Amino acid sequence: MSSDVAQLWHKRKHAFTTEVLPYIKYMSRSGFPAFLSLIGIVSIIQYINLIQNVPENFPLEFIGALVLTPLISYNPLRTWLKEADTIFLMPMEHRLDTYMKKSHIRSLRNGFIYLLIVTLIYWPLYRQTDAYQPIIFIAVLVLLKAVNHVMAWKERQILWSTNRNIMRLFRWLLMGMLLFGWLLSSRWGMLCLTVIVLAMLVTLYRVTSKQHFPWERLIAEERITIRRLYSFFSWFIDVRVGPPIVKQRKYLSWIIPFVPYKKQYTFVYLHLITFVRTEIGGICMRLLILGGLVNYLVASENGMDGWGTVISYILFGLIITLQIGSLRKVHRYAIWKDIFPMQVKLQQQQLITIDRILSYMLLIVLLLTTIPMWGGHSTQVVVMILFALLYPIVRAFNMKRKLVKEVDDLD
Amino acid sequence: MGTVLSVEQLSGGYSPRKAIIQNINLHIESGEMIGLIGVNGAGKSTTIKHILGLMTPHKGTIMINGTTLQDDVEKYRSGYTYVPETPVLFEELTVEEHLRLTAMAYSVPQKQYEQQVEQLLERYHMVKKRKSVTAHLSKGMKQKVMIMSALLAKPALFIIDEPFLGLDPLGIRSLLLELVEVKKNGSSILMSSHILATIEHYCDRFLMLDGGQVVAQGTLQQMLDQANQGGGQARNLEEAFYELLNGGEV
Repeated sequence: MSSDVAQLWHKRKHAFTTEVLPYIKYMSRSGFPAFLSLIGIVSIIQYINLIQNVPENFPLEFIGALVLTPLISYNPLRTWLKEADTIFLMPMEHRLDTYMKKSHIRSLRNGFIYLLIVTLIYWPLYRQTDAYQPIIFIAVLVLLKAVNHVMAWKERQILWSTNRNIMRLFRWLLMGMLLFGWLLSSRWGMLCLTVIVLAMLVTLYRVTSKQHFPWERLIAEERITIRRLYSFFSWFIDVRVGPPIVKQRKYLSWIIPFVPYKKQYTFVYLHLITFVRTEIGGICMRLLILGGLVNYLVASENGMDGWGTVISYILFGLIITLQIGSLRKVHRYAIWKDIFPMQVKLQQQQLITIDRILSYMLLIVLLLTTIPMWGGHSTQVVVMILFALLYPIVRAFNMKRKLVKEVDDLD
Repeated sequence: MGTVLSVEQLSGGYSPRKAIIQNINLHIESGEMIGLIGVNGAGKSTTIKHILGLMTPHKGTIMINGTTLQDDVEKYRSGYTYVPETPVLFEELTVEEHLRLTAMAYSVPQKQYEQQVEQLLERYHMVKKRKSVTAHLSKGMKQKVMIMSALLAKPALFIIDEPFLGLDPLGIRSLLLELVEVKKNGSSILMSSHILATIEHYCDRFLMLDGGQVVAQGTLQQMLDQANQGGGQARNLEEAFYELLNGGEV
């Protein structure tokens, strides 16, 4: 029986690979790998430069904790489980040990590989910390990764999503602090603290209310993973689109009422809300934070006489605005587009307007993160300001062309 | 009374070679409620899709308020609202945002919208759900949002496809009372439904389709007369329906 279940796991994994393979081919033809390689090469040059001339007071430990915490704490689990009525699923739980074992092994294996890669990249900086103790540090990383994998599973078993999210945040914060501590000092004190923190977490996870097998959570996780993957593929080619994942995002929702109550803003209003509540806004916000952080660090270091910041700003600007472009596709087949009393042209103009507004807003916020290099680099600053002002206009022209083509294709 | 909807000799379907509906004639005057009835596959939804402008007719003309879709898209579409059988919402919008979006699209004056939205939320027991994202609502609640959106737009013609599906008894009653009110205010309603016993009391006229063609139309009395022509004993719409369809057999 266990071999049947193991076969099912492999069958589902194979089915998934077969399904996404064509999209990966399309993506590889799009020039995206070349774009990534370019970013990679620029980053490597910058990084080698940094390793060779690490400035005094460079936050080695903070950077280490920042890059290693997500790798330790984030433990995705691909189970390939599919939606079904849980009444039918629950009796199957006892047969799933072999099935889930394979998912856990895969998740741990991948997690350790990514952790190893990033640790190796960080290693030259780690060597320069005062706490340099390679064997102890590696042992700590392995221990924390393994414990976090178990805890991530325990989190999935927590019934209420609010509790689950609080626990996850708590765990991430504690891991960040522990890693930061181990990068500052690898003495007995840190070992004691680690044991206490882990014991506390284990106790905490034991007392929270749990379900034996978190079917709904695992299925939802699968759904989210697939949706993210397909929304990534949708940058390159039309793909099957499911209903969007909706989140309130109150920290962004406050901008919605600013859209004027006028017919000519109907689709601006709609797409702004779509941006705020769907994954598009989520991705943009994450990229904005990441880009802002990178810009700030590069700007603070004044890399390549300020041109490093310009490159970083433009790269992140392009990547972020590329996400906004997906808004065009979200409601492409909505019936209301053909019911609302509005000409297609007016609808298209509104789409272009929202794209321009969002592009300006995000590019300006991103520009602010480059402030540390503004003094004495007027040419570089002008280039960035020109990019922020002109690129949304270029996008508007491109978008107009695409929208006209889409309508022609539909006709 | 003016003609709100005028359908003349309408034939159409998904394939240009095969017509699903043939020679449909339908006229709706302002303040009238018309029941579109027929078994599944009779052509009700196809007829509605043609009126909505979602399908292009093979032949015939459709006019709303004297305008065809080809003449003036905005004027044609602002003449009706549509409540589909299965609620189709922008799932990321809250209830209130959905209503605002519809009101904006139909150019409802802001003050009027603000007054109406409160009344509608109250009437449909949705005040507590106004800030809820529609993705997280039950099917019945989603249907209420669809109905409220249609009522906000206040067009000349309401096109409603199976409106009672998913509604609780309170919701059905609210909707029926609302439709009576809509009629009083001079708007017309084209409603497709299988709940014959209910619509019998509310519709002024009926149009019965079978195999894509009109098999009977008129007031309840006219429907009964047509059904009983061959010696049938139909006393209500449901019996008339069976009589016209199968000679009285269920």
